Amino acid sequence: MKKGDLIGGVISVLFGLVVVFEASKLPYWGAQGFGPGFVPLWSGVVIIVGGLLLFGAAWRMPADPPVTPDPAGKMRLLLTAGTVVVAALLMPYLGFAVSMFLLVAVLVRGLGKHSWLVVGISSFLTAAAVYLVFVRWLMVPLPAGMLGL
Amino acid sequence: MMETFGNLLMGFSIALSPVNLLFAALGVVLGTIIGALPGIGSVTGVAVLLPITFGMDPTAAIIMLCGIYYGAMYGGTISSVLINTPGDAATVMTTIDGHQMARQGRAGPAFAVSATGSFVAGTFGVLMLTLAGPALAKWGLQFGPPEFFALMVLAILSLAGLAGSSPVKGIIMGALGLMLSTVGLDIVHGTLRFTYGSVQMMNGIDFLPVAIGMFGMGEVLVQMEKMERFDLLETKFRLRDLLPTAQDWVRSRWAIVRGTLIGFVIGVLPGAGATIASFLAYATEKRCSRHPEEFGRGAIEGVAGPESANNAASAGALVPMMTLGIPGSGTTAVLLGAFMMYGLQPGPLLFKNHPDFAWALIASMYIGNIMLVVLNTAFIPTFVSVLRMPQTIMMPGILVLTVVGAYSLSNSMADVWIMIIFGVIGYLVKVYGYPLAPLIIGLVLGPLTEVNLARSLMMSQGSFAIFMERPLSMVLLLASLVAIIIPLARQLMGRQRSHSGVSA
Amino acid sequence: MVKRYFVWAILVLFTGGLLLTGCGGQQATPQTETEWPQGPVELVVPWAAGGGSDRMARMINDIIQKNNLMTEPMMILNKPGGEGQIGEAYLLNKPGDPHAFCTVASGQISIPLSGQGDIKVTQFTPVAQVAADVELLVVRNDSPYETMADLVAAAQAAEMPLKSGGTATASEDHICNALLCRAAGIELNYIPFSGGGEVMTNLLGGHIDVAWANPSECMSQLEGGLARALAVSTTERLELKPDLPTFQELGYDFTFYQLRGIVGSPDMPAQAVQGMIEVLRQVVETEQWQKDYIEANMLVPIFLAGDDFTAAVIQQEQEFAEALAMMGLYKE
Repeated sequence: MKKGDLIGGVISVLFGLVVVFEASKLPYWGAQGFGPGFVPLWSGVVIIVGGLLLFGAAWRMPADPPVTPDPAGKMRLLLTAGTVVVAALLMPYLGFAVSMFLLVAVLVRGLGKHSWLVVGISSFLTAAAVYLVFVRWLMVPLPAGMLGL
Repeated sequence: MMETFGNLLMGFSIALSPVNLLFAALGVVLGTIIGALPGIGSVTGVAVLLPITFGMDPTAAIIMLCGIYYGAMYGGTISSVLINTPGDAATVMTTIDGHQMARQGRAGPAFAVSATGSFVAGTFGVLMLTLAGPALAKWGLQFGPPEFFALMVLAILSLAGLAGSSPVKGIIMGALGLMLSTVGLDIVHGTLRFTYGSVQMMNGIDFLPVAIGMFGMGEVLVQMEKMERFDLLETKFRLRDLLPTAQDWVRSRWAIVRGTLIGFVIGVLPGAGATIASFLAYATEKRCSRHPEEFGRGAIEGVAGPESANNAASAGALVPMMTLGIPGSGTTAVLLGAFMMYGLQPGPLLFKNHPDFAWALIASMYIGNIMLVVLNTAFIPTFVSVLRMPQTIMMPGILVLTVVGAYSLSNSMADVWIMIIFGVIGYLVKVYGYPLAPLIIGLVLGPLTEVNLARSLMMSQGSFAIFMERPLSMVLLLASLVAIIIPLARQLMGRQRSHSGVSA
Repeated sequence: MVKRYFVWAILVLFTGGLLLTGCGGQQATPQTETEWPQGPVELVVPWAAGGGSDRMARMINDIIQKNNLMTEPMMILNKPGGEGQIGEAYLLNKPGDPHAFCTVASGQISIPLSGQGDIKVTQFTPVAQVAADVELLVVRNDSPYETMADLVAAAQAAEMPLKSGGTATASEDHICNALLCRAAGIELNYIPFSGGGEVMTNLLGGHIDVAWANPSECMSQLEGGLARALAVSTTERLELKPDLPTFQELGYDFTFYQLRGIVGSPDMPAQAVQGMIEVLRQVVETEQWQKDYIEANMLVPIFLAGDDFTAAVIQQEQEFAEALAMMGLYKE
């Protein structure tokens, strides 16, 4: 955890500094008590102090034991997160039904190595169920896209 | 008293008519489903189904809409426990221990205890509404901005114990939540903060997309990296494992009672609501429990307390709505709109002008709660069987639900992006051991604290004496003081004892 | 492994292709035929479900459906947040779309004037005003102030200014508060709340002395005997409340109306605007509208279409700008 906490502390301090800098542009105190800058400023200060404490504690920690790298795990992680991002990017263009179909298809195939039949059925059922429940029944205006779905 | 009883009896005679029974049943079933769907909560559910009820008999329509309202509180548990994604704002706390229980193969007991607690709490809430509605509502009115500020201080300090193993990381997350809560339009000062010219940012960062991302998507990412299987679930699938053990009942007994009381009191206060009630109930359970170290690892009290609290609070919020015509929460505001669309004016006149309707509605809530406890117990095996799905098929499905759920919060892609960003952050903070709860708490309680402090100081023209001049706020602030001193003292004493133990 | 990359490659190509060809699907189809509407009509409500604008939209939709006033269905789309700016931004991105409309309430006019957003109502194509809302000054039933004169006398004598409450800062409630203070020569300490319900709670709980509210926000309490109205902001007394004096007749020289209406996408084709105006004209003539909307919410019936509506919006914008300038809240 040493390395992680050192990085976490640095990130907290940097983020806190940005918050304090930005909050200092807002009025801090007004005629009737505190202004809009009060709470963001102090939350920034607390983040900085917390980051320093975290860094200090991590500094004194013994070095991390070596971890066995897990490239396959990292690959799965990136694939999952990346697919969600791509699906969300595509949603306004393809419509949610198609993009959600693709999301499930890519992940079920990419992660589970299921047969294409399972991939097809699971992604079709997911997209169809979401369409029926959210669009047809609850009338959530999900992005429709080119196919009108 | 006799008069109330007679009125209630008349209410039952109307609520038990086949049509009204049917719509009560329809309402609670729809409510359970809506509650279980991430993102879509009781507010959206009632608002969306409201137009469908047009042209129906007003009594049946409102019975159904109220059924959706309190049914959603039961249903929200399902997705919280099964897929670690809060189904409703008020079930965020349930995800913490509920999902851990599911991973240990104890989803069944979690559902059973939550259904029981919800039933006890819901029925207690309706009973109080029946017996003492107007008096309670009047009591709730004593809470002005200074009292709310004091209550929030008490809530934050009692929740400070949720920081987990690393207090520093908890503080960072809490402050981050507080900072994020200031994004958007500052209602008191009419100033835009951290929006950088973006219209979407004006709305601020709502805590539900954050919670769905951090809990739901974050958990999926963690699971996908590790690729573990819920092996326990495949073996433990006998009926016996679906039911809580005697020890479960003993442990959750008082949690249900405390959750019910806390939830109801908070629910009656206009403007507090079920989410805050569930926070406080969780904090209380952790404080009262003999096994505080089990919290976050599947403590059953951590499910029983908040689940009872959110149901009691949703019943409590109906008190000011029905007796004063004041909505105490988002959903009661929509319900109030529904009443008005049917030409029914909630408030003191409701019981005078439309006693048959008012009492039928109250009676239907007793019936609805019975239906819900039966429904939510009978279907436990079905809910649990969801976990038998192969993980590589279930996880993508959960992702779809988080995306669609985040979108449907306010029909905007902005919430989807907030959800995804916090999903990735959720993964990082989980891997590096930062607690999630303080961020959510800062995000929810931060704005209420700030806004009520600002209003209090406006009322007193800048003087802090206002908090001490008002008895209720003074008592609450003193209680907050006690809330910090006692754990500190206990820690100090514990340290001394252990020191003396070492030296002896 | 190979297969996984294959899937990705397809996905990336697919995305790239889409982005390159700019397959937006956002552009409105050019209007060739004379019929309007050609598809579902979308009415954006930039406020939460259950609020005043939402109730208006749903009432309009209900009347349209019941009386078959339109050949295509109407979809109500709640895009709440940012004091109406988020829903408006959505409509702003659909220029020329003949089927996209948005509800307008006065708050949407005042918000950009105090620097709380950039989108102005005048950026859209005006369609029609369908009603006007009014402001009431309300006190608790057991309040010592029986009349406006009592209140003004007490406010003048008070050491600490009396506390008034309303929804939000630089809002209609806040503007009314300032207009009354100027007209009566008094000072009221305005406390902003998050919504009408919260304002009434704090009034009934005695945390504020007077409250600003629309009739629909306080009717339950007025009729239930929990609160009383002292005066109304109209030029003439309300038909439904003939005993309630106006500020003007009491000698406090100001009137205030909130408009409620509908605007269309920027540069909406004239034919679509005309089509919607006709539909709305028929809506406001129905008995259901009069009874279940206007009377139920104690609104003032008014129908202004096209240029008249534009003029009303511009006039209100000017009045708000002046008032906000006086309050020191006007931002360019």
